[in-house]
Amino acid sequence: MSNRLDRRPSQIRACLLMLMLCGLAFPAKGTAQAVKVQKVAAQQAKNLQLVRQFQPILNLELAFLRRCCELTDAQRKAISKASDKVLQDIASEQINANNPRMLAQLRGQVIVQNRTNKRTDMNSLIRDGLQEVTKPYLTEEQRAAYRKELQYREEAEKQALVDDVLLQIDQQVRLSDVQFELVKDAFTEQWEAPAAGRFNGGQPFVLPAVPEELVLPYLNEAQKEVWKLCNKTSSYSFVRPNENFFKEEFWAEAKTQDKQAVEAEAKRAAKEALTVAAEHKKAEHKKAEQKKAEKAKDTGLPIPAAAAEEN
Amino acid sequence: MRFVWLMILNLMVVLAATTMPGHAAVVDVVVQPRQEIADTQFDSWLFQTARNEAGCRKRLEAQMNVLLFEATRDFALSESQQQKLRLAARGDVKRFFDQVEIRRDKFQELKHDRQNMSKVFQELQPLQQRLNAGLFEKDSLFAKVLQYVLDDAQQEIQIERQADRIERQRKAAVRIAIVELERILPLNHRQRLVLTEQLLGTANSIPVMTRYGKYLMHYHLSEIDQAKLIDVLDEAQMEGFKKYAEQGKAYAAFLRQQGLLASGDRNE
Repeated sequence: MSNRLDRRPSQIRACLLMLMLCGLAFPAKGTAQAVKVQKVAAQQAKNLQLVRQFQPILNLELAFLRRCCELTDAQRKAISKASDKVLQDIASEQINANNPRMLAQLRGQVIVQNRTNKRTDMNSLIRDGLQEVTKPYLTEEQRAAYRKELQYREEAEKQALVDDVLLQIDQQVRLSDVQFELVKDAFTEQWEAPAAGRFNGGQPFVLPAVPEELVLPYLNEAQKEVWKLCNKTSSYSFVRPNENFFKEEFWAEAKTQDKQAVEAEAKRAAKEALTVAAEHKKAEHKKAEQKKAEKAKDTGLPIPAAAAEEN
Repeated sequence: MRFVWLMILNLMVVLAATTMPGHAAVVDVVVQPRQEIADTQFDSWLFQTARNEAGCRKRLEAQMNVLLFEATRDFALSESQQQKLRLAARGDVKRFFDQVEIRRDKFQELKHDRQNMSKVFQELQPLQQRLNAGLFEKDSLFAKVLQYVLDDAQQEIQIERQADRIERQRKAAVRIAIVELERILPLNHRQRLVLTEQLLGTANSIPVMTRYGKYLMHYHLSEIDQAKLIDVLDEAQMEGFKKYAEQGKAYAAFLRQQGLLASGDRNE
């Protein structure tokens, strides 16, 4: 008997433990829903944050598009609306908790590892996205002009990046004319440079972290030794345009709405003013009638109808 | 079973105690750091990516070999000319490290005095600049002896080669600066070409081996005659360019201080 009594507290503890486990495994329906709502809210907040962060890049791309082909108001309005989706899509894709590799921070910059497993950057994703969404709204001629300008810009960017890399390499290893041309060709033809990539040079014993196979085959032993001893820095950059210098509204519907709102406000104010003036006139009229009535009382003349009513 | 519960309780008490603020305060008092700056800090300030003196010496040696190879290749140097140049380069390295030692002694004197450490750091700046600019570049023994040992024909080749190199660097720096500008101002192909041409006209001093090259090019952009851009850029772009140029102008004093700008430049 005493043994059974002793065992009871441990049985109670076991029951309590089971209940707790059940609670963890099958939470109440309300709690699960609350957690889900919280998760969705957090996701939306993150989305919004990313959209705001990348909006300046999109704005600059839209300004670029405007300077590639003359757009009508209707086209700008439609593209402006469609372009919002570009950032929304990128933001939701990047914050995919199942694939955290998609968005990473490297030296404080946002780097994207895309589906093809190639390193890309946010600028490229936005450019590609915008190109895609604008397609239905541009004429064939406009599309061709836009494509051509994009190509010119890509070439200029690639050339600048190759220039930058070559200058830094040349400064450290002193390339001969022949070596310079060979390395330049190798980079121009074989290097898939990131669109927004750039390498911060100007430091002693520092070289850009570029594929060695594009450089080493063309160097002599003394140059290879310098190459080996130098630090290699990589800085695939996410570049967010500084809007302090140039900021342009692609489609000024907001302003039009403001104008309409101002007009409506003016109409309402005018109506109100008219009502006040009418009431004031009415009050003045009443006062005058009352004065007349008082005068009539004193003189024994008939009282005007309005004043008689008032009395 | 009771024992297990007791163990869990104990563990919780220990965890709570170690995470309490009072516990951290006790640890702080016990392991308070000494007010002394580590010797490695000096190396890290001066040698940066080379880390320490040994690393720096190794790299300078490799750099010297590359320069000797370049001179031998370009000017077909004789054995005696090579020998003189090697001696000059070693002289540059010795001169540099003699200066390093003087600063290091001062650092040792003051390393307990954090307030005066900024003096040491300031005195390291010229050495850092020297290293950044290249120990064997102009004003070095190497550069002077090279001028001395080259004959007339070799000197002509040298002038030609230097001019080519500078022109190549100038064109590249201009292209890079225009792409940099496009990160804040959208340009189409025609506008890019005109701006490139205009910048080539103003960008005359291009020292590549500097981390401030970007600011120098930004300054040169501010030197462009804006009247020539009125027919090229639209109103919004022009407005943006003016603001950007204003900022570039403001770099003048800093660039002069860094020795990247001569005192007679247009925008001053």
